[in-house]
Amino acid sequence: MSAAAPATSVAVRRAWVPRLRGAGGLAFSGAVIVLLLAMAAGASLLAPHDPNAIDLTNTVAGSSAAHPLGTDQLGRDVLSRLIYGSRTALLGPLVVVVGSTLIAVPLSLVAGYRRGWMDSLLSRLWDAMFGFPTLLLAIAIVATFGPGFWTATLSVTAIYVPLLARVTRGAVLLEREKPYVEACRLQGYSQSRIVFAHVFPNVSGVVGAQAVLNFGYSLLDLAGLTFLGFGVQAPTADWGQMLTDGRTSLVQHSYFEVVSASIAIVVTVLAFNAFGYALAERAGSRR
Amino acid sequence: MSELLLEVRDLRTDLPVEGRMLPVVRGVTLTVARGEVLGVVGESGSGKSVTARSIMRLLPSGTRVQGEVLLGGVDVLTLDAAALRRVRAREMAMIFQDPRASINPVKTCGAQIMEVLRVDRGLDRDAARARALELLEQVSISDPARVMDAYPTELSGGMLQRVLIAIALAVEPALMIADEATTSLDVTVQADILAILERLRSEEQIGLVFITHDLELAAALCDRIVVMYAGRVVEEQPTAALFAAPRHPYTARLLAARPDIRARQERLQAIPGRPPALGEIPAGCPFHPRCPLAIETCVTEQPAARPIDPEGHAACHRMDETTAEVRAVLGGER
Repeated sequence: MSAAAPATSVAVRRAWVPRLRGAGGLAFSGAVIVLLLAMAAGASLLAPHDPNAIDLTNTVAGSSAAHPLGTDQLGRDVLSRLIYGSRTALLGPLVVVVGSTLIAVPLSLVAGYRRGWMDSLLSRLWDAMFGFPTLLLAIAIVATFGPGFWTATLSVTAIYVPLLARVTRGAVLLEREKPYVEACRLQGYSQSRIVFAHVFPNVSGVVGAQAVLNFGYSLLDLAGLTFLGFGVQAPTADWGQMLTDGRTSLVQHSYFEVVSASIAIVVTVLAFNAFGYALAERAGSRR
Repeated sequence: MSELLLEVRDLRTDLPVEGRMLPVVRGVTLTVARGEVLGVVGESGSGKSVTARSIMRLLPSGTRVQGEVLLGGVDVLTLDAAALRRVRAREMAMIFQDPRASINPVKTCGAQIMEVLRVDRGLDRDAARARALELLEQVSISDPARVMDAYPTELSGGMLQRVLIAIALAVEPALMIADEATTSLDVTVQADILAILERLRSEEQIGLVFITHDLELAAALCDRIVVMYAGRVVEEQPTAALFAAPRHPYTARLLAARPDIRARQERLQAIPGRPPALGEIPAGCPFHPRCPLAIETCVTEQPAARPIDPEGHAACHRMDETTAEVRAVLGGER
């Protein structure tokens, strides 16, 4: 994670991003996201089997007409678990993104505009949080409050607050020096009107793009936490959980569970990444 | 002169720069009456804009402002935050040099005019819309409905400056400050904006402070002109008198430096040297290093403002001399 994100740009973890730029990238990644959402919403219609139905007579099976992606250690249908797994895979990051946005953006808007002690205090707090390796911090929080979907999700939310706060603050710092903000002050507008009705719309492009990028990253973090046993617990179908379960099947040369869950995670993360990038590009080119 | 609107008395503004307090405005006194246009001219760094910003209290934190800025009898410098907001929302307005930067890029022009009307004047939506259209017409926009719905990026600089004037007018200000408001516009648009400002002065009785480095523009619009140098007013006279008979050598040199279409000069008559940097303002008369008339006294003693007959004042030790040397520099007939 970049220590000090350049003010108007979004913070990105890795240099490599899919070359899906411009309007085409926006449309393509958007379409993938819509399909994923449809999959999560219509899981009960799409899945051929109950994802939790155990069939001990047919474990670690290969591909067949009834089980296109085979079955896992307990004879559960991998395809159905994959489809149902999209629910927690999307819900977790959604909570992270919405939660971190609701906390970080208003705070950074006000602090960044006013500067002063509140801004210093918050900035030091974010610095302190950045001092921890992100996943380790999340693990520490989960270890304190016990594993599970919600503790994992809320702890990841907490680690995304400083990231979004920094990006927002950077954008606000640039924006507050612009003459139109001065013009607003001369109009006798209240501070909250200037911050929320004038500065916010001008930083929302960058902030929104960052929030979308964070969706992908937090999905990875949540899958990682679940893989390590801190997140979604068995028997709930979840991609991170499938990686854990699938490890044992690997020994038996059954790759479907691990590979399909991995592909699902990668495709989803890349889709949100590309979407966030395309949004950031648009936000940048509009002015 | 009609009713006094703005009275600035001995304004001194120090800006914090790299831990030091630099005196930028060093004792400015000026007045503006209702319906009057006061020109403030001077080179870059002479303190024109900081004077304007001090009046509007639009300065970075840590700035020290001393003196009095009486707007309708109330000292703006002593107002608390709430009172300042009220005065800004009711009585004063400012237009800036770069219209494109001075308007929120993500809201339509109409939304921004209506916002002022609704927030500062308490109009409801429909009334605000009607009034906004009226204001746009008042600034000579021929298709106000289209401009209402336009985003700032869709309009030219000249159109935007009109929109900004409309926004400024929405508060029905008594005082308007135009800080290099026409500098970034091309000449024909400049003329249009001047005509609008002229109308506001005569029809709305707005007191206008017109800051510019362009003497011709100032001459076209202003009743009186204040000439600033190194944070001080060096001369103030009614426009015609100032042009006919400047009494400060700096003013005389400024006037001589103007290009003259008729004269077909080979070179412009530049003033030698450069204006003093902030914090390096020389003792005595700040203009003495560049002044052709400088004498011993000018180096040691800061000249006080002395009245000019019949109206105005200047701050020069030798302004009243009638020697050939002084006449040669100041020109004009005495």
